[in-house]
Order: sequence, then C-alpha cells, then structure tokens
Amino acid sequence: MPFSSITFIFLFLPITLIAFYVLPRKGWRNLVLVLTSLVFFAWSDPTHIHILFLSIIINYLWGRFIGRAQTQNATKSAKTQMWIGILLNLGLLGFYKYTGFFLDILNSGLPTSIDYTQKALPLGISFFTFSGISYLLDIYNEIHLPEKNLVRFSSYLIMFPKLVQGPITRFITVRDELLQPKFIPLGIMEGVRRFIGGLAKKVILADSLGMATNKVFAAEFNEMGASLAWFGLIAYTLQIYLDFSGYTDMAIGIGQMLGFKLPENFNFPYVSRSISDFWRRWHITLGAWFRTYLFIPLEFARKKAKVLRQQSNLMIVFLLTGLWHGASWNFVIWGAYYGFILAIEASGFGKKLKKAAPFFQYAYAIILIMIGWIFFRITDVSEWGSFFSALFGANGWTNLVTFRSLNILFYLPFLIPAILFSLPFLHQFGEKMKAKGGKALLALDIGYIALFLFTITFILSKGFTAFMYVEF
Amino acid sequence: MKKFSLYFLVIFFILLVSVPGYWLLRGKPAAEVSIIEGRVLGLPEKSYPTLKIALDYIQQGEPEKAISLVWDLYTGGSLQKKFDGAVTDQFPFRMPLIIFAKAVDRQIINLSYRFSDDDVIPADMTSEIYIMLKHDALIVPPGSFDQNIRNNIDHRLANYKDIASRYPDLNIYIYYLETLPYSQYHPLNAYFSNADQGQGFEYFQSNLPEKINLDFMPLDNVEGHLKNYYRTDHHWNVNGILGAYKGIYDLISNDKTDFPRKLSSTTLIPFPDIEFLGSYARKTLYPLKGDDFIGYEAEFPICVIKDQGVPGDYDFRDEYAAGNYPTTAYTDHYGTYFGSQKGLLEYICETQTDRNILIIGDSYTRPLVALIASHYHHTFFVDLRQNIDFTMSDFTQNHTIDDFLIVSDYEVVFMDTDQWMIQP
Repeated sequence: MPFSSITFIFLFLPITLIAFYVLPRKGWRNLVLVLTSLVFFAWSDPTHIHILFLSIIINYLWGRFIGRAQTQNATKSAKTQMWIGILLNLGLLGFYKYTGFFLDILNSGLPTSIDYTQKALPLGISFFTFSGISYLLDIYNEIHLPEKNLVRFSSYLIMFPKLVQGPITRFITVRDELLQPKFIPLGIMEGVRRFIGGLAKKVILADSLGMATNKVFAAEFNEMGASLAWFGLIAYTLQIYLDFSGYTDMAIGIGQMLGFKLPENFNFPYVSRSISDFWRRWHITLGAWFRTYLFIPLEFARKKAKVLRQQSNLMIVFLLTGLWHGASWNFVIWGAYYGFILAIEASGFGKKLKKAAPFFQYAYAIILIMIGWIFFRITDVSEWGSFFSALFGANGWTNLVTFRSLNILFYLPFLIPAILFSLPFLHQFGEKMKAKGGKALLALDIGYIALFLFTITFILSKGFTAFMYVEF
Repeated sequence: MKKFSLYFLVIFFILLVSVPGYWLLRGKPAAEVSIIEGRVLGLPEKSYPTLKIALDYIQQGEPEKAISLVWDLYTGGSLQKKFDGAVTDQFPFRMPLIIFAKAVDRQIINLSYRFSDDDVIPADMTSEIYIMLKHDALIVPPGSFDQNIRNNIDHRLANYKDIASRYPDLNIYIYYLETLPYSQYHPLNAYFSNADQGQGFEYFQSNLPEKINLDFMPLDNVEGHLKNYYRTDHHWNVNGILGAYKGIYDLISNDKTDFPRKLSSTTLIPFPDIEFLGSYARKTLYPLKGDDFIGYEAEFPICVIKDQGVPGDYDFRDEYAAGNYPTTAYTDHYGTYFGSQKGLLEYICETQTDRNILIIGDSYTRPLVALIASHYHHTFFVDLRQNIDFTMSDFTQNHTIDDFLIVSDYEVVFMDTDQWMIQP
C-alpha cells in the first residue's frame, strides 16, 4: 500500500489516526500501531508476513538474552548472544537478498552449477533488519535496556511509516514516545505539512521525471545525443532524490501525526561541497548506521594498522553500503566508487577542496554524484561505456528529434520545480512564513491545501508508481 | 496553537474523512459505466466475483475450498489491486478532477512546445496520442519497421503460404487499408528513425505468394487520411468504408463472370445532432469539435444474420435511422451503429448466387460485412480475437467456402503474430 495510493490516503490513514487518538487508554496506541502496521504490510506483501513475525521474535528474544547476560555480568555470554542475534538477522537478509548473487559468483568462479531461483524480496527487509541489528547492538553497548513489552517493541520495529523505506530508526530515538504516547497538535500540523509536501514531491515531480527517465534509459545509448543523455541523467538525479526524500517526508509527517519524531534522512544533498559532505546529507540514517555500527568499530579494531587504515575502512563500509542497495555488481561498483572518492578526500584532498572556491566545490560534488547515479541506474555494466560516450557527444550534441520521438519534450518544464525542491530556498522560505505567522502562515497553509488537492488530481489522472527505494 | 494553523488542520482532516464519509453516506452505488473511459467503474463488492464463489463453497459445506480460493486471491495480490482500483474509481468528483488534470497537462505541453514550430504536438501526457493543430485531428505516432517487424511479417507470409497450399481450391483475397501511422505521409515520420513509412506493406506485398490476390486502399497524403478517417477516432468514416467496398468488389469480382453487380445506390445518412468524439478524444479528453457521424444505407438483399446460430440484427443501424440513439458526449457511435465484434457472425442472404465467403477482420471490417454479404449466399465473418479456437480445417469441414477474404489494417493483415495468425 504505497503512501501515494488513494486507499492509503483516504482509508488507511484516517482510520489509523482515528483509532490511534480515540482510544481511552494511551497504552493501547502501541497496539493500534502494531495492528495497523501488520495490515499495512500484509496488504502489500501477504506472502512474507511470517518474515516480519520472525524478525520481531528474533530481535525481541535476543535483546532479552543480551540484557539478561549483562545483568548477570556475563560479558562473554552477552557478546555471544549479540553475535547470534546479528547473524540471525543477517541470515534472514542474506537468504532473501543475496543467495542468488553469491551462488552466481560461486558458479562462475568454481566448477559448480548450483541452480537457484531468486526468491522475491520481503518488503522493507533491508530496513527492518538494520533496525533490528541496531536494537541488539545498542543493548549490547548499554545505550538502552531491552524492551520487555512485546507490543511496544513490535511497534518500534514494524511501525508502518518507517517499515518499508526507513528512516532507519534506533530504538532510543522513539523510546520515550512509545512509553508515553502524546497528543501534540503542533506536531500533527507540522506532520500534515510534511506529508503533503512529500506527496507532491513524489507524485507530481518524481513520477513525472520517472516517466521521462524510463524512456531515456530504455533507449539505445549508441544513438543517443548528448543533450538527451544529459537530460536523462539530470532528470534521474532529481527523480531519485525527490522520490526517496518525498517518501521520507511522508514517513516523518505520518510519524509526527502519530506523535513520533522520526530521524531526518536528507539535508539537501545536492548542495554538498564534497562527497563526504554528500554522505552526511544523503540517506543520513543509513550513513549513520554504517558509521556507528561498522566504521567506528573497524577504526577501533584496526587501530594498530598504520597504513591507509581509514581509507581501507571507508572502502569496506562503502562496498557494503553498495551491496545493501542490491545484490548486483552495479551496486557493488557504485559503493566502491564512493569508497574510493571518500578515501581520496580522507587522504588530504578534502582539506585542499575546502580551500577552493565554493563554486568549484559544488561543481565537483554534483558532477561526481551524477556520475555515481549512472552506475546506480544502469544495471548492465557493459552499457556504461556507451552512455558515457553519449554524454560526451560521441553521437552528436543536439537531439531534439529524439526528445520528440520519445515524447518527453513536455517533461522539460518539470526540471524547474524539481530543481527548486532539491535546493534549500523553498524550504527556507516556508520556514520564514511559519515564523512570521499571521497572514503569511495562512497563505502558506492555503498553499498546502491547494497542493494536496492538486496532487490528488494527479493521482486520479495518472495513477501512482511504486517508490524507488522499495526495491532495496 | 495559532488560529490559522488550527483551521488548516481541521480542513485537512475534513478532506481526509470526507471521502470515506461520502462513500458511507451515499449508500450502495449502482454499477456505473464511464463512457469517457469506455469501461465499467470498479466497485469493491463487484470486484470480487471469486468471493461469491467462495461464499457458495461455504454454503455447500466446503469451507476449505473457500479459504483456499480467497487465500490465492489475496496472496496473488489481485484482491488488493481490485480494491485499490475500485476505491480510485469511486473517488468523489473523479471525472471533473481528471478533466482538470488533463487541462493542466495541455498547458505544460503548450509551454514545452512554445519555442518549436511543430504543428503536431502531444494531446496529453499519458496516451501517446498527438494533435494535428492545423487540422484539429488526433493521431497516433508512426508505426515502426525493423528486423523484429520483418520477422513478424515473415511469419505471417509463411502462414498465408501454408493456408494457400493446404486449400488450393479456395480463392484467397487480402485487402489492406493503408493508415497514417504506416504510411509515408505521417507528419512525425521525420522524428522517428525507424518509422514504417509504408515499408512493412511493401515488404509484405513483394513476398506474398502469387496465388493470393492482394489489393489495398492507398493513402496519398494527410488530406486523404482526413477524408477517410475520423479526426477523433481510430476508425474510418463512411467515405473510407464505401471506398474500400468498391476496391474489395473489384478485387473479388475480377476473376468471376457471374458475380452479382455492385451495390450502386448507397445512400449517406447524416446524423446532424451527433458530435462523434471517438476513442482518441476519449483517451485524451482533448477539447475539440467532434466528427460528423454519417451512416449509409443501400438496397441490401434480404439477409438473416446469426450470432452463434441465433438470428438478430446485431447492429443499431435501424434504430439510428429511426432517431433512437444516444447523444451523450463520448458515446461510441461507430461501435454501436455498425455493431460490436463477434467471434462468428453469419449472413444468409437471398441472392442470385450460391457462393459463400469467409471474412476475417476486426472493427474496421465490421461495417463492410453487410456490403460484401450482399454478393454472397452465405457470409461468415470471424474476429479471431473473439474466436481463439478457430481453425481453417474445422471451419471448412463444417462449411462450404469458395472465397476467403482478409480485410483490415497492418495488424490484422501482416504484422500481428499473436492474435491474427490463421490456424490451418
């Protein structure tokens, strides 16, 4: 049930909100959240509901096991339980996501021919598995105690706003709201604005640009003019941000409507001044997860290594970040690409870059980010060369004819609002209006209602498409 | 909390609950046909015929079968998909909102093409239909011609060759309608590097077995398209139909000495109060003046028409002539007036001949059948899309056929290898 479907907006959401707030006892709200989250998941992915239950049971039990060992001062036992819990989570993720990929590698490297049909990926498995692992590690690191109440724990792990595409949320972030659910009208209002903004970003901009990019990336790169290739790349760069950040805005907005403050996942990543800056602004919760649970422990574990320690740790982290996105070589290379750039920036180039003119810093970052999206979007590695050739004019520069034959000329005007929504100015303008209050706020809210109605007409007229990150 | 913000919150939640509230308050809606979209709008309870079967199982004391049935429906996702579709279809003021969205689309398209000198631009953002601004006519983009298409045509040629060799006594005729997307006159041909431009038919024609008689209704320019085809629909108008009839008559009467004479006194019947907005207008909701809708009448012999052996009219020509027709915008007058497609339609006519003909074709062919039938004793019209078990051997075993005619555009005649292959 995508957030942008009529069923979600006009049935699931109001029913959930009413059920959540009319219950006499606040403690029941977690139960409502669990039940609605199960309905949400079962509607979209009925055949994998048992995986969700399995994940709840594994993380709840192993959280308790680690906690019990710690109260008994059995450090070794706590460590063992922590590793068992993590391996069970990774086993679940690995079985569904990576078995086919690793068997392919095995079959190509060894004289084996193991047949395997890749299983369908359970919805949101990469996200709720990482939430589960963070829960176990935080208990082990004594950041919080294990949650004894199963309903409360379940509502943390499978809370529907963040279940399918994050933000990857640590238990500590929402623990207080789970313990004491609150009715915060200002939060609800802000949540509604956030939800509408995200919906519009997704439906009007990301989906429209998606129609164009699907056509561009399905066309023959060998015959593609540079203008079309650049249009496709720019449109995809904007689409993936607006799609994913639109989803995140909706998730955070729904979270706020329910009294939760989910963590931010984006901070205008396309105004980054370096690639390390980009990774502090793009998919923030995934970056934070890898930094907290992998990079920092690696730095400690390998502190005796004198040569290229940080660089090699960055490489490891980003190879795994790539692999997290999907079990295919293009994602692995995409991760390695970022690992390599970050390693260079960590080797002194980053400091030099900071001294360069701001324009150069912005240009450097956005060009490298866009090149990264080529590896991300074109899954067939053998086609990268012809796309790069097209970008640099191997098939000529102007190609308005192909714009017409692909029937995408009318998507060009979408680039302007898409760029505006990707930069901080509109956001800053909105914040100023909110701060001013009075007529400015009234105008802003009328604008939001109009935007909501306009977005609904878009959904009715053109339908909706799945969110891009739902595949990961 | 600021007063304005409270209003905002209240309005948003009223909007959210007003939609399910509308569904609850209006009660159980009747099934509604969306003329514009040419389909019945989904209703949650109407979307689940399988659920009714499941209920029957429960009543018959077989709950395990019911559970298994519903489980399959649910795990396959079709239950949810149909529900989503029905919820969207039943959205209050859905059609005015869609019309508004299409109007916005057009403004964006106009803005995008403002700096070009194109007079053929997309009519909307989703349908791949274009508007010829000078002529107020909606058209589809050019068809393509490449190695895959050539392979398809080779398959169809082999199929014709096979039929011709298996049925040597049958006179086989093909009459092809050259349409704008498969002609060299499509105004967008220059933008499509693999535009057909008539190449597909040329290839088919040059490789067709000699035993098969072929003729076609050529398209000489865009004006020819506007003369013979509707501006708002993918079908042809009465000029095209009667022009093709003449061509087909010449083709099939050419080698026969005793063939009944051509229907000479075809009369055009205009329906001035009909503004025909056809399939292209429906899909795009492009605001343009509808086509004139004109029917025809002729001195037809007395014929009995049968569908699956049951005699009937199977068109609404008489009703239209008597003034009984809908005038609602977007009504499919072409399909209604000439009759809907059937798997097998038979015409048994009181004519001076005992010749029988089998015609294979689609909705282009439908208006021609009555005209051609007036020259035969028994005419069989088969639409292979609705008669998927059709085989020539079964058919010729049960019916005596002298002539075999295939009439329509590129898809039926030489391109499609899925639905229009003739099973020997």
